[in-house]
Amino acid sequence: MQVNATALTLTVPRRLLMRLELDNAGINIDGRWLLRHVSLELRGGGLLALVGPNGSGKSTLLRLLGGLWKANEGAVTLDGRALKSLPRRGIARGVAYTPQDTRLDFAFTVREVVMMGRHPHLGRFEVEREIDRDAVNEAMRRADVAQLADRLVTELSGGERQRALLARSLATEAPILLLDEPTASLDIAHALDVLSLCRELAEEGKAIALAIHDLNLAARFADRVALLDKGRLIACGGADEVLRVESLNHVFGVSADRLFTGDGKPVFVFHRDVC
Amino acid sequence: MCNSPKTNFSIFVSEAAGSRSANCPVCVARPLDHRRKLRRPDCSQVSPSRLVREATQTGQFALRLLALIALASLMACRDASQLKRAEAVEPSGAGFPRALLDGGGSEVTIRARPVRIVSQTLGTDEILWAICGREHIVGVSKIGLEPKYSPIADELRSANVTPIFDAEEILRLQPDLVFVASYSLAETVESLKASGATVFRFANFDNIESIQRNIRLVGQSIGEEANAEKLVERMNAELSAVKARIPAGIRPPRVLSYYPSGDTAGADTSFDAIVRAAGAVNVVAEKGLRGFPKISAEQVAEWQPDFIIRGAAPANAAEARKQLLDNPVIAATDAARNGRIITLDNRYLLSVSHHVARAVSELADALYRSRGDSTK
Amino acid sequence: MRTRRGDKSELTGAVNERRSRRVALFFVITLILLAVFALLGVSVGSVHIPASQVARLLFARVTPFGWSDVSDIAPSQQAIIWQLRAPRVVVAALVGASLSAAGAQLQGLFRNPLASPDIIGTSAGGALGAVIAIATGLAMSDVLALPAFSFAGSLLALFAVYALTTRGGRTPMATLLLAGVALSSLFAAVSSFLISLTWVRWEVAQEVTFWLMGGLDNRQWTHCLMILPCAVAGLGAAISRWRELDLLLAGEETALALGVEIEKTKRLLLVNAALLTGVSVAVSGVIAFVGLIAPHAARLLVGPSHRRLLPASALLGAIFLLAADLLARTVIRPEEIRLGIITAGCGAPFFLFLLLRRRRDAG
Repeated sequence: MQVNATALTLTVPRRLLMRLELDNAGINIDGRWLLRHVSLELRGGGLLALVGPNGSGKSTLLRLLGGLWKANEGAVTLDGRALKSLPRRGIARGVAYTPQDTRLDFAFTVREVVMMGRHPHLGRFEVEREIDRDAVNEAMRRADVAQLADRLVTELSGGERQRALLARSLATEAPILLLDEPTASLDIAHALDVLSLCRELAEEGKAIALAIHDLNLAARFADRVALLDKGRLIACGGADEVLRVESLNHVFGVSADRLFTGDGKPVFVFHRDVC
Repeated sequence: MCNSPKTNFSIFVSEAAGSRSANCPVCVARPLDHRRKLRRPDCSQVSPSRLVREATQTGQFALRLLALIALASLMACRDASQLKRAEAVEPSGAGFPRALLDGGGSEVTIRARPVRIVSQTLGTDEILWAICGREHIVGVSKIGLEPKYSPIADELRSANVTPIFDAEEILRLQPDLVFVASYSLAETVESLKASGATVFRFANFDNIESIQRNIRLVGQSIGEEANAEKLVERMNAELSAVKARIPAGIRPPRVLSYYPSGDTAGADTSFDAIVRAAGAVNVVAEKGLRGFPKISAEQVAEWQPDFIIRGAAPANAAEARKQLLDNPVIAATDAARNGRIITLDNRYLLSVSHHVARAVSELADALYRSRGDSTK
Repeated sequence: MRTRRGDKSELTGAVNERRSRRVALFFVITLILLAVFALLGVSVGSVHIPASQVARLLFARVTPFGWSDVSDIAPSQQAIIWQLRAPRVVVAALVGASLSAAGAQLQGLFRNPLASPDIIGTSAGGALGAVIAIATGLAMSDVLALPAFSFAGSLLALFAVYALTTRGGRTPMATLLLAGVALSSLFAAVSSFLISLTWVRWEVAQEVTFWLMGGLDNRQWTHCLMILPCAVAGLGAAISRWRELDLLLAGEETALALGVEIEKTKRLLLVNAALLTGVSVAVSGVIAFVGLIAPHAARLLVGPSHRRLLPASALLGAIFLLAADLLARTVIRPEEIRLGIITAGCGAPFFLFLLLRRRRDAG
């Protein structure tokens, strides 16, 4: 049996549970600590929501997890191996990162953009194979952009572009997905669709971390919630523990009433204090 | 990496290897035959046009095309040496073949007495016209036929001599000797050599002696030493006649050349040589400047030359003088106020052949006649 | 081509078919045009040579010795075709292809369709090297001297830009742009200074000025052999990295996340583009706009994916320069206009066209 970890004649990868871990990680840019003393674990089969005010470090945390930025302190490990020591392609096959910025100035078709997600699996001189096309079609179907496959990305609305980028991440077939504000430009229907999809993927065994502004959506869909403030991890655990009225007041500076829906999920109604 | 029990990187292990060299399960053909029959790995038939279309989409196609073009180019370059002349070359005429040092400092061997000569500089146009049999001159430079710059323009035109504009024409004329300027780039010379001709560089010259040396050199290269010598003698005679016209016992006039653009001529220029041959002093050279620098009008005013000289076509002499006088600083100089601005015919002033003698003569006329001395 | 929102997969399949057919048509047409202009370039010149003789001569050259007899064609005509026109045509095609490929890579690196090979300073360095070669008289003595000096100047510029930009293993594009502009200015200033010094020998200054305007007169097979390996290697290296270029277009972060070693790739593409530019300047002088117009036009015709864009730019660049050279030689026959003037003259209408297109789309 030929074994070649860098040649990419890959068939369907097995859905193994993988672990992405931050251990007392911190990152410092130009003297300012964007994150400090953060310990976090991302396991297959769970959906983690990162919440916090603007500038709390959610995007930075995702970048650290994805190996895009190097930690100045502490360790970032994938299945026990330091991310620093792994080749980029290897990381890309294990972890898929979707940025927040959906700007795409060049007239690629949606299909071409989603096909970019297969880059970690394709060698320099290799042509796209049947399995790549299948992965792309499947990814587009799940992200609900299949009908836009031959449209140019420059012609899409913000929400459609965001879903196309999500499809790109799905096409990598990586077991770990990191999504930065995946619902930012989406209407409520699509936002619910995307989060339901993330839930499905989590139940299929993927490890998903997403940064999100909407606390109610976080509470409804996530298994675990990590609350960040000014670069520190304030709390990490189940939605009930982390999303408490007092902690929200402390971190966000707003007061809230917590209600419950019929199926027991918490819903928050926010308002500013009336002085 | 993949067999380590600690990690889950077995996810990256290829399981597809081993199936690559198997026969097609459907039609049981070998992979090579399969491809030859234009079938895909899943045994579906594909049409040639479709194949072409798909092929052009990939980078591999481009790479293959590139390789093909490279190969074709290399094949075409295989005989990149220059064309040799078909006829055998025999030494003919007295003293050929001969080796000479040309104006660029390289040794040039002239195998036989040249019968088809092309000149690419105005200087050699003029010299050849004077010493060489007209039938041997098959091409002259473009400037040779310019009436503004060439003293022999009309003669050349009426003799129907061909002006040359590019290397192709030279090749067509199949000359044996081509005179080019010393500052021509090496690739120009190489192109000319492709015609099999001998290429001879003609250097610029800054004084009477080197001009005469050039005349003799041209004579030697074409086997007309006698005519060249006669030309030099004529030149010397004219120059002596000028010397005789210089009034004795006067202070040599101080002159300089000046153009509205600020250009002037210092030491080591033919202008300087002309001035000295006319018995005057070049102020700019005196002040230590060489070549063709630019100076300001104020500088001219400070140096207060006796005469200011400018070259122009004879028809434009008045206009040329007026242009100088338009500059108020120039107009305020003694020379200008006393009407001592001399315009000389450009065709002789800028010449680098025997025609400079005429410029010397014109200058002497202007310098000494204006002083009111009768010289004849 | 405005696509419609189609829900049926057959419709999207049809769109794909149309697009791939269009691309195939583009390549077929450009290859034909390349052959046509190359043949025209060899057949046209100030001396008239019948097309039949041209054809026979070319056939004789590319087939093994002895297959055809061309002894009846005058040696001077053979020399004109084979020593003057043919190398010129080959150099024109290679320079056009190299400059366009360099431009395409830089447009991808900078994510800006208005980037051109001049912005990283190599052209200015090459020009400086050539000015030194001409001013010192070395260019008069040896055909190799001027290209060698010019290429050395380009390498110097590349080295300087690289050293200024790359810090801690990273090559930020904004810094690269600034460094390129700064170095271009510096080299241009030094060149101008040298030219002003040589002005006292005006004929040398004339040669310098002509060279700076770009031109393919008197190209030899030596020049071809100089540029051929660099062009092939450079184009090959660029085309083999088409996926990385596409991903870089999508954003550096995206590319990094998808497994591209972005710093290594950026450095390689930078060096590649600089070498392609340097070798082009060395054999043909400074020719503006080819590296800007050809990739831009190619992008409009075959789309932004570099798998098609790179070969398309190279082909369009080669055709553009062949056509420009043809024009330069024939417009004011028998004189010749400098090539850089023709290409610059095409720049203005092209940009006006882009401007009008943009206004029409927006308005």
